Amino acid sequence: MNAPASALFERQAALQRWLMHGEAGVAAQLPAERRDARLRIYADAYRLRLADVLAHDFPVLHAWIGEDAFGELAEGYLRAHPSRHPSVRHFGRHFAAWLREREGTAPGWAELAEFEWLQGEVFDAVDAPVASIEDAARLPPAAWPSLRLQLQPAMRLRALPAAIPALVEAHNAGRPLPPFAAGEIADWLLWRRGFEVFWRRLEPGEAGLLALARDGAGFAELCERLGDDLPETDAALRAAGLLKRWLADGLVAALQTDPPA
Amino acid sequence: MNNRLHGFGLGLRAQHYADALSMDCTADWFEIISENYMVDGGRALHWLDRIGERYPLAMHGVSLDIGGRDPLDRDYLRRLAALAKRVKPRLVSDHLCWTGGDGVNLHDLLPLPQTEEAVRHVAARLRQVQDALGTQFLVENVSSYLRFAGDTLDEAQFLSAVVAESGCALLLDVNNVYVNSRNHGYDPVALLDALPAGSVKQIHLAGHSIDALGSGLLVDTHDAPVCDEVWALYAHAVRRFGEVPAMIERDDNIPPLAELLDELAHARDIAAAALRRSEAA
Repeated sequence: MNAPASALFERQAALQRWLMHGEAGVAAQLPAERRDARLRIYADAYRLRLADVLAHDFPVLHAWIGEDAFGELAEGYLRAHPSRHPSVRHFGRHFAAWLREREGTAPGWAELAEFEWLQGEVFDAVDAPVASIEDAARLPPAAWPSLRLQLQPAMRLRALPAAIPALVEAHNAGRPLPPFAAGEIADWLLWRRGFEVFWRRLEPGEAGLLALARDGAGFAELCERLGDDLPETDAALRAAGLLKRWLADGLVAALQTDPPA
Repeated sequence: MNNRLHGFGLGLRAQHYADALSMDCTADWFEIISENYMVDGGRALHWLDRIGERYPLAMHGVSLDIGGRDPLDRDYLRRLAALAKRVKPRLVSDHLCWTGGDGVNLHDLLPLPQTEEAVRHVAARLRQVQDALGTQFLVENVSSYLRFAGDTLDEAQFLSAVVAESGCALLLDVNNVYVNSRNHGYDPVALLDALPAGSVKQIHLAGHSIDALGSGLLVDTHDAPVCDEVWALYAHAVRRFGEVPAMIERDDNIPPLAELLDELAHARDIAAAALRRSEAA
């Protein structure tokens, strides 16, 4: 709801149209002295500041495709998705989806952007404690049937080409980026432990189990799901192995039992 | 919240988190960019809490849009108040500007027409902000590269009127005064002399650059040390406004903390000399 039209608001709207769409009507409301330079400084600052934000949030894509190509993407994205959030931290939230829909996007660009965005989400997601293998070992036998795993809020699951994380790892290590071969899709887990972001490729079936646990299924239900494909003894061993791995990775925030152990 | 902030501070930047907690950091306080800490968790909040245990903090925002045409963003104000509850800042500020409209944030500190209409609009919104936060708010004079035709107030009159009508205080950015004096052709000393003496509660110092495309306009880039002309203007501000907490901002080409602390020592020397000169006069 805007207040009634006013000179104040009209001038703001005119300058905003210049910044966002290059409409020069605002010039009529400015003194002539160095007018073009004055308007140019604001227009350049608007584009460059938000392009810098994208380059900061998608450093590997920026390095992969180079300054000029990335600059073109940034300009197009800014036109399609101007920022609607008080913090620039959120500006790039639609970048991967926009790349995916865009004509001319090369294989891997959108997927790499998605992977980089997930890293950012994990980086400043809610803090939570970390349950340990020792915490699990201390659970009394009676507690296990009701056990639920509360997983880290700073955790994301995504199916992405297996070659994407290799690009990020090469960039982070200062190595030349390997050639990208689309193809094999794998399940990836990203999570934060302390203040560091980690990722790993999940074993077959592990993503589904983590998703079940994240959505509130009990540990017994995870064992049942494993039992669909494995003999009972193997399923129990596999469940115990996965739980141990998840605890060792710091993926589990709390072991919830009823009554509380 | 109390307003007892004394001495000389720095804008807190992520590169300096660890050094800020080392024993030889001589900053008296730090100022944070509020929006950088409006996150749910992670590294930034961890460091913020630790640095806040050791130093007084001030909060400085960039997205309040106090002069904008969209209604004040209530969700943003709630997040700002929640951050203030965590940080317990000595001062809370944002910029006297507008930042967007129609739901779009342009992420720039855009100039307001200097008119009575703008004063009334901004002052009414500042009163809402002060009510929401339960404290006096500070607004910073911004650098600008254009003025609108039909302005009825000069910059000093505009700033003074906003202060008088809203009850807020000024965060005086001395570099911005200098940049604007060059970009719009006025005497920066006369501007300082025209501001109400008790209105300035905090001072910013920063570097600027000259427009690379040859217009001669100065651009507030915060990427260089404070220049001699701005130091001279700061000395005048100290003589005029007294011992106001002052700090250096650096947002690009960020040097090691020790280098900024050396620059801050220079600010201390200039302020001390200016105060001695005031007392002797």
